[in-house]
Amino acid sequence: MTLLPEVESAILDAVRRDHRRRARSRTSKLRSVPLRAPLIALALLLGTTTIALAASGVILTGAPVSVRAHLEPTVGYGIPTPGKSRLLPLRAPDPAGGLPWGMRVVHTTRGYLCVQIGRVDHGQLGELGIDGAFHDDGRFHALPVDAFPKDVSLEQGFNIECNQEAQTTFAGEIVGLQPNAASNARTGSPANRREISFGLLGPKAIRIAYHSGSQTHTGKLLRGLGAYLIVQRATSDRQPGSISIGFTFGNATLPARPNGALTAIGYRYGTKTCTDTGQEEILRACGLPEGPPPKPAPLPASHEPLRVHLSVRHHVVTAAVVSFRAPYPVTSARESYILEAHACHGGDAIQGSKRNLAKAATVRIAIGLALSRGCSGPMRFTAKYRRGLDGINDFTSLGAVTVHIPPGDRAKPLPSRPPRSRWMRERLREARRSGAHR
Amino acid sequence: MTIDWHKATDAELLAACHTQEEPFAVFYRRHERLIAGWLMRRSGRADVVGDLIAEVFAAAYIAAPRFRPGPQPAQAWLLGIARNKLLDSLRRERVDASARQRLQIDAIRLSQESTIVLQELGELDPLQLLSELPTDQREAISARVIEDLDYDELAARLSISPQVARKRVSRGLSSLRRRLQHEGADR
Repeated sequence: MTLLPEVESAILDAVRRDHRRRARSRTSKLRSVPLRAPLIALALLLGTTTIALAASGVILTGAPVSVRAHLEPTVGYGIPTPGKSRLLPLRAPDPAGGLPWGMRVVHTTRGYLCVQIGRVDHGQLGELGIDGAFHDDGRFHALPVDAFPKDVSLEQGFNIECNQEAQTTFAGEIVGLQPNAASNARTGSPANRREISFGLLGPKAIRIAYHSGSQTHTGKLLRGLGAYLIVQRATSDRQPGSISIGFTFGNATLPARPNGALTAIGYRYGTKTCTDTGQEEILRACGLPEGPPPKPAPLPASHEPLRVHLSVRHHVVTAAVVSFRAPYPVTSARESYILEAHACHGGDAIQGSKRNLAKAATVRIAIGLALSRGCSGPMRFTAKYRRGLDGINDFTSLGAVTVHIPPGDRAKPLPSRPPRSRWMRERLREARRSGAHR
Repeated sequence: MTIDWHKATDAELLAACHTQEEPFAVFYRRHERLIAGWLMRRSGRADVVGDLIAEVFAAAYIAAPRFRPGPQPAQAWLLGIARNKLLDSLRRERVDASARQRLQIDAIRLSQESTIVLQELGELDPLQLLSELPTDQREAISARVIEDLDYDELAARLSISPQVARKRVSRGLSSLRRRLQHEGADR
């Protein structure tokens, strides 16, 4: 007798499917019986060769990591811009030896800059078939250039981190990646976890210091981008899977601050050098302007009528959309249209468009989630156009509309899993930054 | 010959679950209450616990071939998975779905009845159940499962050998499971 029939049925159906898949796999193996003996001989030969090659520091190559299909260049993060991905000439040794770690920068068609982390073999970034990845085939699997791996969600980010290009300096940290660098990082033993500190600190960064155990070391910095990569064993008190990014605005009024293993970052501005240890008032120490950056020239005013479409089924609002004409184009992730409303228990409910739009095209933004988070009663939505200028967001108000749910009907309950993606957190962060304009 | 999997040990069930379907069904039903109650008491959110339970058991199914029978009981192994999944989910502000995605399990929609069952489970006081155990087992479980000490640390604290520490935790968890099942039968 089960407590939760829905869970039991979902699990046992999955087990059944897995058994069917295994049975099919066994059948296909039996069909190839005449080839089995030669294949076994070949496998033994390859196995022996792998061991021999591994011992001599050479590793066999397996199939490339599967890539994500069906991505659109004008939606969400976009797709990698062909020819603009670059494996940086920066290598970090693994604490256990073997292939070094490296990082690749990937520019996307929507103006994101992503940093991808992996092991490097013959100038290629990739993952290793060890610790449960790739059926432990012991091979190197290249991460294809100009494509995103299939198993990684860019929003969750594990061995890849994406930020808008305007925010190109950051100091990040990944705790929990395994020596295999696998995108689906739930493989391997917790004892093998790596703590990877990486970042792009920009051309003003000239040196870094980082801690390793109780000691402090000076790290390598790739001049120009200010890139660095440090790989250490994760200490037991660090939680697996966490990623934290201390990024900054592109106009250098707020340089990236030490994060992860970094204890200090040295900068040079003109003839002045200064060191940020995370404690001091770095802006003053570096002689940087401390006030807010100058506001950009406002866009010409535009007032757009907002239309609301509610779909109601069995007295529940199953879909809700606000639409209006786009007075300005959206050409990358630096621009977007958003709708703001006050959520029920404080804070803002923000919904936004995640795709490029031509001027005068129709903007459609779903507000179902905002309605679910709102209090009962009418909810007022304000439409705004956001443009990122040197990392600073500027907002232009376009109009407002009040949404009334018809008497007797109600908003759809919140989903069991809150769909609060990194994209949504970015919007919330933007809204907080834009506090001054309201 | 038909095997009565209900009489099999956890280790036998896990060892057989990639070759036959029934062992994992038995394993799931045996530990469902333990995991659901544990997750419910720590998260307090019936709306996400359905997905978390599915994630924990999906991960357990995938990892089953790597389970090695030893002094550490399967419940401790399973609770370790649950703890990792819960921490991961809290950190990411969403229920981890890596194992479910691998097994193509969709999001769980719980019925009102199941939600009530979970809320009742969340009200069970584990400390009260723990307090009913013999002192040596209670101390061992508290240190191992709640404080997350490893067996060497646990042995040092209790001035016993690591083997005895493992045995105490194993016995204590078995007793707890029996008590939890007993409470379920009473409901």
